Amino acid sequence: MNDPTPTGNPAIEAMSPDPSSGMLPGDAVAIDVRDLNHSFKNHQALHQVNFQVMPRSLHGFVGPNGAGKTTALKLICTLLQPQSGSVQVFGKDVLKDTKAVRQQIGFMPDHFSMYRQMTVTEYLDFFAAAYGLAVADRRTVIGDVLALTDMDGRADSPINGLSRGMQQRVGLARVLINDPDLLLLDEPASGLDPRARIELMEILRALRQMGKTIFISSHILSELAELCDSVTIIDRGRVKYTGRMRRLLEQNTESSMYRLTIAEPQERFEERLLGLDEVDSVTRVEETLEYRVTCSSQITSANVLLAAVLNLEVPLESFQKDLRHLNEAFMDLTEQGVR
Amino acid sequence: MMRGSLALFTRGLRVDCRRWPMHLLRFLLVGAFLFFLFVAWANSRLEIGTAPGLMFFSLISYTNFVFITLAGTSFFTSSITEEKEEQTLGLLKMAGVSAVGILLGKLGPRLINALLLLAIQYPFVQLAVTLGGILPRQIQATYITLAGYIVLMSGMGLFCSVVAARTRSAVALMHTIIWMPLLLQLLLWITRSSGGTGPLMQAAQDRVGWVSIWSVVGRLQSVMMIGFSGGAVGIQFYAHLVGGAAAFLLAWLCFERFTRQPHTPGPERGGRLLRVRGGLRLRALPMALFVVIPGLAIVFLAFSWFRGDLQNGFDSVPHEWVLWESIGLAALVPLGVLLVSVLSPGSRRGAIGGCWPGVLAPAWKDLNFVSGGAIGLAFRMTLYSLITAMLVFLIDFSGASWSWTTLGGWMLGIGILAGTMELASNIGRGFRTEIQWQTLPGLMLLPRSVAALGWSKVLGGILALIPVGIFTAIGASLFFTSVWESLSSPFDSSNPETAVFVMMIPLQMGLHLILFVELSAFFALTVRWGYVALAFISSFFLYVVGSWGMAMVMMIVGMRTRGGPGGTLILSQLTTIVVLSTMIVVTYFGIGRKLRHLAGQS
Repeated sequence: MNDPTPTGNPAIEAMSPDPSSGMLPGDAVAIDVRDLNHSFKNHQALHQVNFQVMPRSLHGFVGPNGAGKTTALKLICTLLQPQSGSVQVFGKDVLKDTKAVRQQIGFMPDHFSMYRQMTVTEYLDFFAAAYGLAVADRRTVIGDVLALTDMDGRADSPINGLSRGMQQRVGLARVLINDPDLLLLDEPASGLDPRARIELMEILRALRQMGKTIFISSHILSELAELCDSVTIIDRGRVKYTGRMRRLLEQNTESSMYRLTIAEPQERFEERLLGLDEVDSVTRVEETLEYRVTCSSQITSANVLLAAVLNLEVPLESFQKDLRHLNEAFMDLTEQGVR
Repeated sequence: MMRGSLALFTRGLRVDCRRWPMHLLRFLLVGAFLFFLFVAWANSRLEIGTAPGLMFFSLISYTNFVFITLAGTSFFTSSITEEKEEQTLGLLKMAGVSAVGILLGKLGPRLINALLLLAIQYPFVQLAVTLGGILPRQIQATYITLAGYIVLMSGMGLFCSVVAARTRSAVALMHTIIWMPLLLQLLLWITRSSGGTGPLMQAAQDRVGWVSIWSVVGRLQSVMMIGFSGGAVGIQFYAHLVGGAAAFLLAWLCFERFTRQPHTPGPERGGRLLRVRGGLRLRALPMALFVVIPGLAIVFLAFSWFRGDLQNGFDSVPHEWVLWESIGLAALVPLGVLLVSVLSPGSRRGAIGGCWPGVLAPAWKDLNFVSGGAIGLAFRMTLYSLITAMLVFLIDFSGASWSWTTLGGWMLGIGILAGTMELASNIGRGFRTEIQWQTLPGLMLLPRSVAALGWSKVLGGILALIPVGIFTAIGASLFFTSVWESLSSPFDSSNPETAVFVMMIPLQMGLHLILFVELSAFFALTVRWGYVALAFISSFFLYVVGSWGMAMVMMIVGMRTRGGPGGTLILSQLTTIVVLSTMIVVTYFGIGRKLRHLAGQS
């Protein structure tokens, strides 16, 4: 079960992230979800959910409201018990090794659930003590997590008086207090202003560099696209895609898009581009020297198109394959309608 | 104004119809009435008493009174605070609903619900007339009395709800207001029953009439008397109507003043003092007690020795010194806590390492942030010291004969009652706040079992009982001789059944207290407010049905089989113990299940 490659399940193997990324010999898959089902009364929240998260990766978990993201997160973090299927965290079953799993994870829920009557230090000291840290270790760890979240200047402030962004940092500091290998973050950026959001993403990048595995559910797709190595898209309790982020953004069955910029204006350049056999359509980006070129079929490779453009003898400044936005992929994969 | 008020009124009625605790209360009330009917029937079979109708109706009337008092404190006090807590009061104001419209719209459905609950009983209790011993006019007078009491409770509850920022504060304020007259009545009763002739006794006699105008119990007592010839509407009814209307008027006048600032949601740190000081150290309390109690004792003993009072033993120590010792304790403990906190090193707020390690961490949290920490404990030490001083003052200075046993008995009784209520409230609040502020998932994700976390929270609640524990222990030690006598005498007797029976009484009481505390915790996880009242009513109902009912059944069975009640009482008590123990185990697992469920839900 620890080896992520031969799953025996074609659905998982087709969608699995690249096993070579981030895996070291002896590593267990950080999260291994298999045939997971969960229902609340008459509502089937999760239906045959399968996905894996590699260790030391940043994995996005995307889906519309009511898709089953929070339910899946709660099942992974042991707050709910799977009704059928299995969930393993670093090779440990969440049902059988609940305590061991809890030692290795840090879960931050989507709401600001804190003891707001405490000061920041009291709050962190409480959780450090509850995790069984000795007093000397508590001092070191609390100092470290406060420094990491840039909250060391507000250590003695009551949580109630902190801004939403700061409270979210305190929440993140709390999650880190037991030095977990896996962070499960449910909408950590919701309700934050742009600055706080960007700063939070920076902290997540730093944590990933420290070797933490981060499983993040978010609605802010543009930031996830930049941040995540891999992604799982879920809709109405079913996994629509799971795998590497880049592969998702490159996926397009009908056409390929390229973006090229020329150094100086050229006469009838659009028409010349359209005259090429490989090109299906050309769009100039407003009044700039940048053009978006759509090729009619996937067969056209970037090299073929580049050679054709160079043959037009124009001073080319840049040429790159235009990736889809995660938003587009998300819209393509998920269904319309209110849940 | 009317449109907004009616909209609120309709919504309130609909919401109350959907609340299952309301249906549970109604169910319990119906269950209680059926049980009382059984008791009246059993009494007539056993030929205990001559008026089963009067007995049946008295039980219903006093149950209604207790029910209104307990449920009313939670039911009416949340009418405005729930809007404050949900931050919807501002929206109502913006929608153009006037202050009086909001007050009427919020209070109206609750008042109607409460009065309907009373009215629905009226046709059924006429049965008491056919059972004998009660007249229709007495029933009429009783229900009018209770209706007046509901109006008073609703008005006062509304006022508390307007003034307080949170339901919890409103309930505390309401309790303070309603217990004051009851406490006053109790004090008057103590002074009267002590048989003293001092000036206080005379003053108490003079005040009795004034207080009894407001007294529901007094009015019910006079209505239930055989040969009652008074009117159906007594002065108490008018007094309560006027009181309720005055409270409504006061709530209206205060409304703008207390709802101007939007309520900021968030848990309290444990009182204004804590916010000012920033948190006093918990360890300051035992340190202060360690200095203050022996210090005071040494001072008084030295003074006593100097005067030569100790030559004839402890009993010759002037008992008024207990008064001064209590007052000294009340004053010096908070001062000692403050001094130790300020002078001890590292008293800075939020110093790392203050929290107790491992599984004890939740106990530390609840003790400090739910039960008030050092300030809360010091406050309670002061309160119980003042209660002791008051008891000494009443017993001694009312002119009655002084007795250490009497003082000990009162302290023991008050201590057990207050301690149980405090424990139920502490533990219930400990769980409730986790739900309210959605902090349960974080707690449940700690690598501990649910049972360990639950017990740790219980420990936090128990540790907050240090002041009442000291108070009760002192009371028990003073009362020790008579307690020992009453406990040992049955063992000396030749009847072993009596010894077993006596032994079972404290066990049964202990189990009942445990069930009450457990039910408080369970209901705290289930309902938003009124969990202690609901637990009290439920456990009271279970206790009455369990013990009294079983006793009745067994006595009837005993009469049929052996010709007399005899040892069947023991059997009935044993059955009650088994029923209570089963309930305790079921509730214990119910709490664990509920915690897991709520953690997954939030």
